[in-house]
Amino acid sequence: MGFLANWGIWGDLVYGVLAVLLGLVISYGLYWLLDKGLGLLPDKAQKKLRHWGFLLPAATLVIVILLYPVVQTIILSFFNASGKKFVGLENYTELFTSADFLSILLNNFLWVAIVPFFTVAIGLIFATLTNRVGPTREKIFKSLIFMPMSISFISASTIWGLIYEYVPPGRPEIGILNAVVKGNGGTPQPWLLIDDFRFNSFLLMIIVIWLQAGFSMVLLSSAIKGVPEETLEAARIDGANTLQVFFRIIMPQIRGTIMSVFVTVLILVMKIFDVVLAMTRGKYNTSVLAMEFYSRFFVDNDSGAAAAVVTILLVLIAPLMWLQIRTVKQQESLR
Amino acid sequence: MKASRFLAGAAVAALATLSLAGCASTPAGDGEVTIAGGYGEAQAAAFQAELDDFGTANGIKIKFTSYASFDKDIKVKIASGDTPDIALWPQPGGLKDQADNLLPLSDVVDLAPIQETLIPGWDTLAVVDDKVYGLPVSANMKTLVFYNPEAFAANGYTVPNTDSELGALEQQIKDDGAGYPWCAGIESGDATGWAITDWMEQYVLDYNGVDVYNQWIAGDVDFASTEITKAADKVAERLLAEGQVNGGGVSMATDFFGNTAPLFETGGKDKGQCFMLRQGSFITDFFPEDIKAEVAAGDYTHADVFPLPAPEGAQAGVIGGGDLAAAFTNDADVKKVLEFILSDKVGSKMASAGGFISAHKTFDNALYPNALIQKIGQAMSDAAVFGFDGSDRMPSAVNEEFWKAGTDWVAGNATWEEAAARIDAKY
Repeated sequence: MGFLANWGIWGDLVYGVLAVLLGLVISYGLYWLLDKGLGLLPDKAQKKLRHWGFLLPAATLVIVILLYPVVQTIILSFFNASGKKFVGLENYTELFTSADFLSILLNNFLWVAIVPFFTVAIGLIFATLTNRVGPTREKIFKSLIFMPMSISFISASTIWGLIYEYVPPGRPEIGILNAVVKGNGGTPQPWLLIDDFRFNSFLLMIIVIWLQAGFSMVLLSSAIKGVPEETLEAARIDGANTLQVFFRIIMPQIRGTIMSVFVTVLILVMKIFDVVLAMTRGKYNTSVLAMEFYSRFFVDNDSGAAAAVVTILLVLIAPLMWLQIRTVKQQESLR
Repeated sequence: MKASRFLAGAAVAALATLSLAGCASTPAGDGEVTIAGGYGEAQAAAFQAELDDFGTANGIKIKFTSYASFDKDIKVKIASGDTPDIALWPQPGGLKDQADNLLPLSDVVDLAPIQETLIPGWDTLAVVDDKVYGLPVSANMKTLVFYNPEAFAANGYTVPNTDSELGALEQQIKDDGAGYPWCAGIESGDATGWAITDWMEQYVLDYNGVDVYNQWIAGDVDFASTEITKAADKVAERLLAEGQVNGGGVSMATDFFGNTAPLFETGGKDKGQCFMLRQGSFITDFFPEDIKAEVAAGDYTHADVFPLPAPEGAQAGVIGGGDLAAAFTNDADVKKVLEFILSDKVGSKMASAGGFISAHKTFDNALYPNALIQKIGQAMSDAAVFGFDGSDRMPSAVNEEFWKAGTDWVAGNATWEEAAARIDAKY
């Protein structure tokens, strides 16, 4: 069909239509064949096996696309840089004995400990406050706070890069933060280079909190609105003040939403990468697991060590996934 | 209409089959050659223009693509089997890593006429198992100090010819409070730190000669050894000592290498004025627009260049870099294009776009756009000891760690011993 290439846009269209048709015919044919095949079995077996039969194509896809790569990655983590020689636990011992990698784990821990908590807390504050300012202002404030959500991590990093920018003394100031510091009589600082107490990592975390606070606000706000008015009224009649109403009546009823926001952000932060790549590329002690994977794989060409890093990340994330699924299930059962 | 095109296609296919049968060693071309590289926008456009001229004359459609970050992107392309016909590596180390996927150049072209005009040393850069896999298309030179003659004259400074004169000049600048001796930003996004590796290479080559230099690149001389530490001490004395660079090492780490404005500043120390910038010949591309226009017009009142003097008792070496072409496929068209881009004929348009120096002795010096670049081109073709940018020849993992650890060293986050240990661990 090479001649189609000479037809320009019409050739492309023909290819497209053919692909769609072929896809339809093949999937229809596949299920038809499965059905026919099952029809050949005795009645009793048919009843037992029919649903499994129809699950087969989807299950195959999940195994090929999701499970197989995971298993392959885990296997690769026991092989050398080129993935050809078995080296046992060498990749892992190398990682866990290097000070750099332990420092990366510490960074990941800090991200996980700080970002989800503040995202939920700030989202909760915004949600509560915007629910009290009247419909017009609520719309305006919510749009403003939600706006960062529409920006990609890389663009956000570019924006914050201008905020943290440092220029040598005497040169025209570009950095917003340093301009403020200077305006107040302070000395400009190279913010992203300051790794005492992981200060620069905190600066990166602020970006993610800024991005995710809107997401957290929107979900929590609708959950707060879903709290039945009667319960609030009853509490007030019983003499509860505003804070008591919030912590004793509202909070327990939106715990499910808080948990799911918390866990979603937690998982996002576990595999945080874009912000670190765009801001520091892991220099000055700001690297995290996903960044380390990137540099092991694309820079060092070491598929073994890279796979080991991913496997460690996987092991750390798996319980969180379980937590998330459980939260969702609990919420479902509440409905 | 469509039918006739189809027939024409069939006829071409038939002809191609016929010519294929006629020539067994080099397969016939398909009339298209794709080249990938890492050139900047202006240089890529000039290169494409040259390729278009050559392609039109020879009936080949040649397409040059610049990858945003070549070294990483080409690995992805190779892994996915989507390789160009020819690729231009800015780093021989990365090229040699991929030798398994490349063709020895001698399989595609006759090397003798190319090697004859090349400056010695260039043909030994990308050799694996005694086979040449890459040869230069374009080059640049890094043993250069750019300065502002007007600022020198205003302060009564003269161009230093020896290392001690250079040291005296640095002291003079500091004593006068006129500004800072060096402009030395090393920030470069993904590749932050390469500029400091250039400084290191220069002094390693100067102090120890080309043999130790090559052993160092091969990993046989440690970064922690006395030879390399001596060079590091020299760099520290030149750049990291108090008052040598505006804002010290921390500023160097965050300041973009192409930020040349302070060199042309006239406001003195308060404005962060600096007097000398050691960089590659390509830095002229990063001069402020008005200075670039002046240089292009042949006016050197604000920008001129002198070679960096070697330390006392050391041999003056020349450091440079370049882009090396390697071949993924072999057919008659690829052969023709390779013969062209590896010859001394390439560069007529790239030279005038700026930032290009030929790696051939026989390149026509008049093609360089101005006297400044002619001076650099002359220094390149006169080179006695030519050392290709060392870090670019190291395995890319080592090179990248050299950038990173070097940056930490400059920023004061690591001592040289710590940085050296980190780099040595990557071999």
